[in-house]
Amino acid sequence: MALNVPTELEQHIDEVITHYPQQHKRAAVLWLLHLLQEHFGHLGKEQVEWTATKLGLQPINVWELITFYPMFTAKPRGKFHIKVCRTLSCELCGCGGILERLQRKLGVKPDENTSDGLFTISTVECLAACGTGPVMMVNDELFENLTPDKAEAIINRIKTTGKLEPQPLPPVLPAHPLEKRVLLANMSKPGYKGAIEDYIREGGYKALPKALGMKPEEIVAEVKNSGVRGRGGAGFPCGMKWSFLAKGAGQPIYLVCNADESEPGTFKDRQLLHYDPHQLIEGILVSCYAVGAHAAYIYIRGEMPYGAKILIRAIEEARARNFLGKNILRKGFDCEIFVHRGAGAYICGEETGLIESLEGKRAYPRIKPPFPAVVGLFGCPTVVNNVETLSNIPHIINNGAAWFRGMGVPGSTGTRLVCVSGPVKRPGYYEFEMGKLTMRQLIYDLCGGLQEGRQLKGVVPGGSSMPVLKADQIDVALDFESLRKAGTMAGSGGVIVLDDTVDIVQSTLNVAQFYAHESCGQCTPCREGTLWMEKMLHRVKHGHGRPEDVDLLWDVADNVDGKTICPLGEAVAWPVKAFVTKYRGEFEKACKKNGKEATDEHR
Amino acid sequence: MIAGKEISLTIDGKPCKGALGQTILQVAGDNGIEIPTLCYLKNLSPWGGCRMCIVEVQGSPKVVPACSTPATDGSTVITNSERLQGLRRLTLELLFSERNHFCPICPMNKGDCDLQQQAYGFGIDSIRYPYLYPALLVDVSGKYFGLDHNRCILCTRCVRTCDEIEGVHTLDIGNRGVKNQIVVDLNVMFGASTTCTSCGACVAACPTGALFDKSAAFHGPLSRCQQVRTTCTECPVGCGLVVYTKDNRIVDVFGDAESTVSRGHLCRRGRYETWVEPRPRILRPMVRRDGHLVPTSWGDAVHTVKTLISASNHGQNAMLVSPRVTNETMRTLQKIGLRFDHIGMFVADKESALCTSPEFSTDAMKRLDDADGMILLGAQPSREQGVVAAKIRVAVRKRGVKLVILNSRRSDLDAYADISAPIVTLERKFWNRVGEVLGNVKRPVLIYGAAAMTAVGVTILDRLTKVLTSQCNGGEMLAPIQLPTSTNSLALAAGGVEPVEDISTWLGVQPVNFLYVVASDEPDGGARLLKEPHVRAFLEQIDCVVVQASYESALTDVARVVLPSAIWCEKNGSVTNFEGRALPLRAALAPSGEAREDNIVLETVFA
Ligand SMILES: Cc1cc2nc3c(=O)[nH]c(=O)nc-3n(C[C@H](O)[C@H](O)[C@H](O)COP(=O)(O)O)c2cc1C
Ligand code: SF4
Ligand code: SF4
Ligand code: SF4
Ligand code: SF4
Ligand code: FES
Ligand code: FES
Repeated sequence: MALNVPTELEQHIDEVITHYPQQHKRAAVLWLLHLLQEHFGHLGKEQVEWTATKLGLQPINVWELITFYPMFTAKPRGKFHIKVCRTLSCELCGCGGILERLQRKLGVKPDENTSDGLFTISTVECLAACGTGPVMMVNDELFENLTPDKAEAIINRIKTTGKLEPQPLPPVLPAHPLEKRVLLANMSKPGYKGAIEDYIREGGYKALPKALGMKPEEIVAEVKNSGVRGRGGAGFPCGMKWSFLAKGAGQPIYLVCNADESEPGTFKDRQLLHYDPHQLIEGILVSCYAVGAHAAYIYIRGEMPYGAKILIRAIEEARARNFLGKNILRKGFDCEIFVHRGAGAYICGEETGLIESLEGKRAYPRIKPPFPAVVGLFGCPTVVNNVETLSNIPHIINNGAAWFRGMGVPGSTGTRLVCVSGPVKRPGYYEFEMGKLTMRQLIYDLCGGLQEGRQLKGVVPGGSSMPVLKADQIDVALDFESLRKAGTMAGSGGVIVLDDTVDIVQSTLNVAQFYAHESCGQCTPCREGTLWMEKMLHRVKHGHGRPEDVDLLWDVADNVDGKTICPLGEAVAWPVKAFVTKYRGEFEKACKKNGKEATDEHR
Repeated sequence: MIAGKEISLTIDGKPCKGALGQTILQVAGDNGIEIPTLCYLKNLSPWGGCRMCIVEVQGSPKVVPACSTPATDGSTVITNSERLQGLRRLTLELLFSERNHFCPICPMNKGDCDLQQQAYGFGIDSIRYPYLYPALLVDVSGKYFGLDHNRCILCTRCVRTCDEIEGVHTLDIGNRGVKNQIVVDLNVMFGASTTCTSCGACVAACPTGALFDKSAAFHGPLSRCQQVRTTCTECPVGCGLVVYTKDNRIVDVFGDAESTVSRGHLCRRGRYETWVEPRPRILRPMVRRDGHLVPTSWGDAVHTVKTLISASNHGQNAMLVSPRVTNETMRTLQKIGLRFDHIGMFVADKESALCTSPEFSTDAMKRLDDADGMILLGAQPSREQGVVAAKIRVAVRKRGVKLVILNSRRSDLDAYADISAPIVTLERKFWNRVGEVLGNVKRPVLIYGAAAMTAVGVTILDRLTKVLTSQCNGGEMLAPIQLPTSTNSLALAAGGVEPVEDISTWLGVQPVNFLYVVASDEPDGGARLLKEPHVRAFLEQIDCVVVQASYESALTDVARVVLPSAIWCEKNGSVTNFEGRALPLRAALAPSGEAREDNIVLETVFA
C-alpha cells in the first residue's frame, strides 16, 4: 500500500472500527476520514484507496463521501482553515464584514490557499453558536463575538506565533428570575465542570440504578406519562415513539442520540453536550434499558470536535465506574455508547439521513415508511432522539412523571431550552417552563429587549425553517400548541430576532441559500426548487426582479411543500412562504426597483 | 414480483387486486393504470427521487411516490388529480430549466427521450423559470458512448444499473444538492475508467440524452427504426438482442428484456463490438487467378470448388468449421459429411475436453441467481462470457455470496473473491481455507471452463466436489456448470462434429489435399487457425484451400477460393446455448454484398 499510515494511527483506526458491527464496518468511514485528514491534511487518491481497502469498500464509495461532506477536502488546504459562519444569525450580527476583512488581509478568495500555505478561508453554514455570533472556527477552535478587528487580531497572532491557542469554553450564563433551570441546573452552579465527580456530587447517576431496578415497560410508561415531547424539531411524544419499536424480531435494537444540531439559530444541545455530558449519558443509558438497546451511538456534528472529545472522555469515566459496559452496576444489563462524528452536512440532522450517514453513506434521507422504529440503523429497529429529549430522562426517572407534568402546560410538559440570537441585548440560551412565558417576555424580559434604538420587526420562533412571526404576533405563549395556533411551530427552539434594520429580502435569501446548500439533491423538487428560490431571491435582491416574481416565488415554495422525500422541502418552503406573505410589500418594492433587465449573472 | 397475500385497493375509482409487498406503481400497472415515471426502472431498486410518480392516498396529507410506496389493503389511491398533474408539471419545468435540454440538438430528440415525451404529454412548451444552463462537461472520451452532463436529470438509473446489474459500480453521484453530478470512478473521464466494462447497460437505462451511444447518435429516433429480436452469437451464453435498423443498416443494439437467458443485459461484445468495431467484410466470391484473388460470380466460384473437389480424388478431403455456426449449418454438415474424410471444428484451447462429453448446464443462469457460494475454476467470464461475470459480481456484492476463484490468469473478479489462487496448491492448509470460506454455504455451484481440463484441473475438480459435498451443510450442491468459450461448440459436438485444437496434428495424420474452412463470422476471419507458424506452411502445400468467411484475414491469403459468409445479424436459424436452450437467430439485415448464410452456401456447393 502506497500510503504510509503510522502504526499508532492505524491502531486507533482499528479500534474505531470495532465500534460498529463487523458486517457494517463501513460505518467507521467518517471517523477514518477525519483521522486521516487530521494526519495528512487532505484526502487524496491514496487516502481514498487506503480507506476503501481497510473497510472493504470500492474507492468510489469513499470518494462520493468526500464530495458530500464539506468538512473533507480532496485538495490540501492551508495549515489553518478559517471557517466563517455566513448563516442568518451571524449575518444579522455582521459576519459579512469579517469575511471581507480576512479576505483583504490575506489576499485570497474563499477556498483559496494563501501562498505561504498557512491559511484557507471558507464560509460555512451555521456552527450552532448563533447567540455569540458572528463566529468563526479556525481548525478545531471556535472564536465568538467577533468584529472585523478581533478577527484580524486572531489571524495576526497565529501568524506571529505560528500556533493556534485552545479556546476556553465560555462561562455559563446566569439564570434569569423568570427561568426554571432543570437541564441547565448543574452547569449553572459555580465550579461545575461536568466531570463525573461533579455530576455525582449534584445527585447524578441516581436515575440509572433506580431504572435498572424497574421493568423496562415501567420506564416506557413513566416517560409516556410525563408527556415529554421530542426537542429535536418535530415534537413527537417520546414515550409513544419508544412504544412503536418493532421488538422481538430477533434483531438488536439501537438508540441513536441526535447531536447534529445544525438548524440555523439553534445552539442549545451545544451547552448540554459541553457542560453536562453525564446528564446526557445517563439519559441514554436509561433509555437504552427502557427500549432494550445494548448499543447507542451519539451522532455529533463534525464541527463540535470538543464536544466529541468531552463525550468520549465522559464515556470512559462512566465505564470506569461501571455505569456503562458489561453487567452495569451488577444488574445484568450491558450497554455501550459510541461517539460518531458527522462531517458538515445539515441533512444528517434528519433522522433517516442521520442513519444513512452513520452507516457510512451519503446522508440521503430514506423514504418512509418504513420508519426507523421498524427498519433503522443497520436494518434494525432504532430510536432516534434529540440530546435535550434524552437529557430529560434521568430527571423524569428521579422525580416521576407527575413532577414533570407539573411543569409547563398540558400538551407541552416540562421545561424547554430556547436559544435566542440576533440583535437583542442578552442573546443566549434560556430554560423555562413551556407555555408559561410569551415570546414578548422572552425578548423583552429575559433578553433585555432589542439593542439600543432598534425596533422589533419579526421573530423566527424555532430555527430558521419555521414561519416568522410579525412584531404584533409576539404575545403568543411558548409551547407547542400555542405556536402551532399562531401558524408556526416550536421547532428546534432557536429564536431569531429580526429588527427594523433588517432587509427581509436579504434574510429570506440567506435562509434560501442555507437550504439550497444543504439539500442532499436526491429529489427533484427540493434540489431544483431550493436553487430556484435562491436564484430568484438573488435576482430580486439585486434589483432585477420582475413584479410577477413575488407570486412565482411563493408558487415554487408551495409546490415544494409536502412533495419531497424528507421534510427539508418544508423547511425551506415554510419560511419563504411566510416571509413573502407577511412582508410582501418589501418584496414588491424590491421588484419595482427593476430598472435593469436581468443579466446573465442575475438569472 | 413478491408473492404475497392478495390485497384489494381502489385506484382512480377502479377496484384493483395486487399482492402484499407490491408497490402502488406495480399494482396500478398490473391493472392497466399508467402512472408517469422517470427515475423508476423495472428490475432496479426504487429511488423515489424524481417525484413524477406521486399519487394521493386517502388519509395521507402528503403525496407519496407510487414507485416506492407499498400498496396497502383497502386503500384508495388517486393518480390523476389536477393537483398531481400540476405538481408533476412543475417537476418537469424545474428539470427543464436546470440544465440544457435544448432538444433539437440532442441525440435523443423526437421520441427516444423519456423526459421529452413526458413534457409533450403535459403539454409543456415553455418554462416559467429562466434557464440556468450551467455549462457542464460533455465527456466523449469513452470508446462506445458519451456522457453529456448537460442533459442529465440525476435520476440515477445509470448508477443503479451499473451497481445492481453489471455489478461494477463505476458510476455514482458526487457533490451535494444542486451540484450533484454523475461521476465515473474517482472523477475521471469515461475513457480513463479502470472499472467500466463498456457493457453499455447504463446507456440503455438512461431516460435522456445524457448517456448516448456514439454510433447511434443522430441517426434518427429508434422509435422509427425496425426492430428485430435475435441472439448474440459471440459466446455460448446466448443473450437476447434487439437490433434496431434503418435503411438496411444497424442504428443500435440493445439487450432483449424478454430474454430468459439474459433479461436484457449484455456485455461489451454483444452490445457494441459486433457492429461498432470496423472489420473488413468479404463481399463477393473470389477465385485465385495468377496468384491473385479476383472477384467472380457465385456460379463461377461454385463451379471452381466443384472442379477442385473432383480433381482431388487421390488424397483426403477435410473440412474445418467454426464452432459458432448455426444448428442449421450443423444439419447441413451432417448431410454432406459423407463427402469428407474428416469434419472438425476448431475450438478454443483445451475446449475439446469439454466437447468430448458435451454437457449442457440446464438453467445455469437461474442457478447462478440461487447459489450462495460459487467456485470458479479455469474459466474467465469477465473476458469471455461477460453477462455471467456480471451475475457473479452482483451475487457477491449484493447477496454476499462466497466466491472462490482458481484460475491461472487474473481478472477483475479476483477483487470480489474470498479466495483467489492463481496457482493451486494441493496442500491441506489451502483446502482448509476453502472449507472455511464455504463453511456456511448451502447451495454452492461450481463453474468450470476449458482451462480446468488439465490433469491438475481434473484433480482439483475432483477435490472440490468432495469438499463441497461434505461442506454444504445439509444443503444441496447444485450441479456443476460447464462454461465453454465457443458459441455453439457443445451442440456441434453433440451433433457429431469432432473438436480440434491442434490443427497441424489433425491435418498431419493423413495427407490432406483438399481443405474446406467454414470460418463464418469469426471476428478474426478464422486467422487463429494459423497461429502456429507451421500450419501456414502446411496449408500452402495443400492443393486446394477453400475459405468461407465473413471477414478478410491472413487465412484468405492461402485460399484458392473465398466465399462470403453472412454475419450474425444477417443469419436465420438457431444456436444452442450452454444451458441447452435452442435460441433463435433472426436476420435483422439483408446480407451485405453477395454474402450468403453458411448453410445456404454449403448446400449450393455440395448440392
Ligand atoms: C432537515 C431536518 C433537520 C433536522 N435536524 C435536526 C437536528 O439537527 N437535531 C435534532 O435533534 N433533530 C433534527 N431533526 C429532527 C429529527 O429528524 C428527529 O425528528 C429528531 O432527532 C427526533 O428526536 P426527538 O423526537 O427527540 O426530537 C431534523 C429534521 C429535519 C427534517
Ligand atoms: S427533500 Fe431535499 S434534503 Fe430531503 S431528501 Fe429530498 S433533496 Fe434531499
Ligand atoms: S458501461 Fe457498464 S460498466 Fe461501464 S459505467 Fe455503464 S453500466 Fe457501468
Ligand atoms: S446520466 Fe442518464 S441515467 Fe444517469 S442520472 Fe443522468 S439522466 Fe439519469
Ligand atoms: S455474454 Fe456472451 S452472449 Fe451475452 S452479450 Fe456477451 S458475448 Fe453475447
Ligand atoms: S452560528 Fe452563525 S448562524 Fe448559527
Ligand atoms: S418514478 Fe417514482 S419518484 Fe421517480
